[in-house]
Amino acid sequence: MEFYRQASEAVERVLNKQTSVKSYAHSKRLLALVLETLKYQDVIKQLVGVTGLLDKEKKAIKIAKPQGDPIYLVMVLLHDLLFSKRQAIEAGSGPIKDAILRHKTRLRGELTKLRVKAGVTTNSDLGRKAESEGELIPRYLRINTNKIAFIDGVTKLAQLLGLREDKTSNEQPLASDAYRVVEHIPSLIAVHVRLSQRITSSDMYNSGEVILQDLASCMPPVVLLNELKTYGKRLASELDSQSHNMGTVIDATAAPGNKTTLLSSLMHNKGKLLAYEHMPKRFATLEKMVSVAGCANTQNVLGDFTHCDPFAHADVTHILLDPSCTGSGIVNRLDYLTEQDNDDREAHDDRLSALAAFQETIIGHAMKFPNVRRIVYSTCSVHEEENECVVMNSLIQHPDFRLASRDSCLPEWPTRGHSEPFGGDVGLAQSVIRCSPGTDRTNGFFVACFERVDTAEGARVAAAAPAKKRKNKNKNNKKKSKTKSQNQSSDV
Amino acid sequence: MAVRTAFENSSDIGVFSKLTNSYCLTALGSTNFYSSFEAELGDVIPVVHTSIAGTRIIGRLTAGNKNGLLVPSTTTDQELQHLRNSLPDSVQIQRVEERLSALGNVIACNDYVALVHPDIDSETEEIIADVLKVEVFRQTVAENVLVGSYCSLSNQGGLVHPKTSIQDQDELSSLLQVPLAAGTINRGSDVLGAGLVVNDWIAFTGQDTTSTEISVIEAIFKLQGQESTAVVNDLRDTIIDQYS
Repeated sequence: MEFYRQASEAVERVLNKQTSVKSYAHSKRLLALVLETLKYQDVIKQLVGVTGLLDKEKKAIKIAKPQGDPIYLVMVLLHDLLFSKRQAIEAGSGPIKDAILRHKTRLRGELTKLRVKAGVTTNSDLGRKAESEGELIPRYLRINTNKIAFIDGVTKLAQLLGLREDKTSNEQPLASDAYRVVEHIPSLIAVHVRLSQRITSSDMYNSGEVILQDLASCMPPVVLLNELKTYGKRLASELDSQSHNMGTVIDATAAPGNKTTLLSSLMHNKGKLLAYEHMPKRFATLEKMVSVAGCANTQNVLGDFTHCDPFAHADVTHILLDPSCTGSGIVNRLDYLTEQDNDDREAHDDRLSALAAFQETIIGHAMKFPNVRRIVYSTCSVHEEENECVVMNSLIQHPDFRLASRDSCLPEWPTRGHSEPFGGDVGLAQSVIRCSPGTDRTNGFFVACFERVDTAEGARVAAAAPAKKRKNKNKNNKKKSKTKSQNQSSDV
Repeated sequence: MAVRTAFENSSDIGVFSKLTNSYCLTALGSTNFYSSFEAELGDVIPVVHTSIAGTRIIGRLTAGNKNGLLVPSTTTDQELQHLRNSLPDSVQIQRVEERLSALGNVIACNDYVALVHPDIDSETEEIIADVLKVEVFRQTVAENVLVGSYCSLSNQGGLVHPKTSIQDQDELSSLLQVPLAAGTINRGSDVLGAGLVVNDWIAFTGQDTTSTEISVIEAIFKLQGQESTAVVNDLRDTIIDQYS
């Protein structure tokens, strides 16, 4: 029974979005039960409703679960009784098991009726299904050019997994035995999602020759180092000299290190790259990632980027900012299990504005670096409040910066920003990049690139129509620390 | 095959008898009635004369299939002992404490599925599942809660209340996994449970049943004897051989 109690707590926490399903990955049995229970939650709730189980067995349930909502415990027990392979509750007899077994015939009967009503033959057809969207998004793999040349890496991987090259456009769904070279990002290929496990257990993955990284998350480094765009086409020596000409690059929010390693390989593993991370646990992840990927030019710094002294880093020319965000763009392949109808609107708004405040702070700090030329700001959010509005507010506050034009920000990428928060300025909206899970086959994402203007040109931008005003702008500092600990990083 | 019979001039033979694939119960009294069952079934399954709680309406008070027999709590110890002695050992007999004591009216079952009155006690429901070894569904038939009265089931098919909607028939048929037909018995009576007892190879109907009703019953319960159709086919084949 203790196991079921644990599982019921897990289900409760996951459904209340206090934690993710993945945090139970340490116990296979627990994870399986939680996932399966979530899958059948609608059916189970219907059964509980139609049989009146909670009312009829109030006493027994009260004994087993004196506090809190007993529904979750009942749910996991019913899952094992009705949907598991053994079709039995695997626990010694106790008040709640007996109570539920008193109703097993009724429950089975009602379940069959539900199947008949739904016109399906098996129970598994009654469960929630992943929407096709998750299936459609391929798994993106980056060949780590710090370790292996792109062509060699692709050949090796194709041999390892028995893949053929698929030369059709990105619109077509990808077969499970094919890979496709992604056109917008250097050294990135796409494979079918089902290959993930084989890749993560391969030597190439463990030795850092391939890195699993979403297409969207590759964009900020590529945009930041746009001047090295001819990557792969020019001679290595030319590239070397180019990276030497560049100043230091900072990745302000580095962990888990996917973007950092891409920056490093875009810089041809030359020059100097500073990776900041302020949380010790995530910093350990970052260090591991950077060392596995063989990034010799990278220096990890355990500390908060917003607390470093800009004037001590006069050599910094490029900064990558990927601050905490709501993560609303992340297409979680397990999301369909926890979706609920009621959304807490108010808490959501509060969280959004707190995050936006922090995001503006970090941009403002990056702009203080005396010699910074290019700053890329990215989030894995789809909310305008975290994206275009933050960019617009920053432009207004810092007239010495403007948005880099579309020409230097993946010009061929079709999905661009919303113009409304820019006061209807289409040019500004065109300069920023958006990704949407539906059309672009990647996570929801946003990238904007600031560049320094030395002339009075910046004033023109500042004069543009103001962006949406936030309610609690003056609470910025108070909320800042809270925000950071709460929110997930946008590295996906 | 379907056989017409009557219990002391009453066509409601389902009230006075219970027929399953492994035994048959008939009420005390009418000897002709008992004989008509004995004549058809005597060699195959036991036909038992009995009363339940001292009454003759045994078909309405009991529910059973080849696996078991459920009797109401009012059944006397002697009756229970008599049944125990007469029925095959494989048949489990169980007394049920149920408020709705006319078990034959509230339970309709074959050997795999039982339809029951929606308000039946959940303890009774468990007993039904355990003793009769069936899946249990709380159901109504054409909005009647007395499912035992308004339908008649075998493992081959089922006949339901004539006003059962097509949609309900489809739903019931998918629950029961047998074909269903809506029909009447005893010249237009809708209480099928009272007019008809049926198992997998024979049906007994009330004396008033019309030949149309009989043909519907024989079709849905698949009671047309294999031999007769075989004879017809053989005959036709030989005739064709002769004249071709």
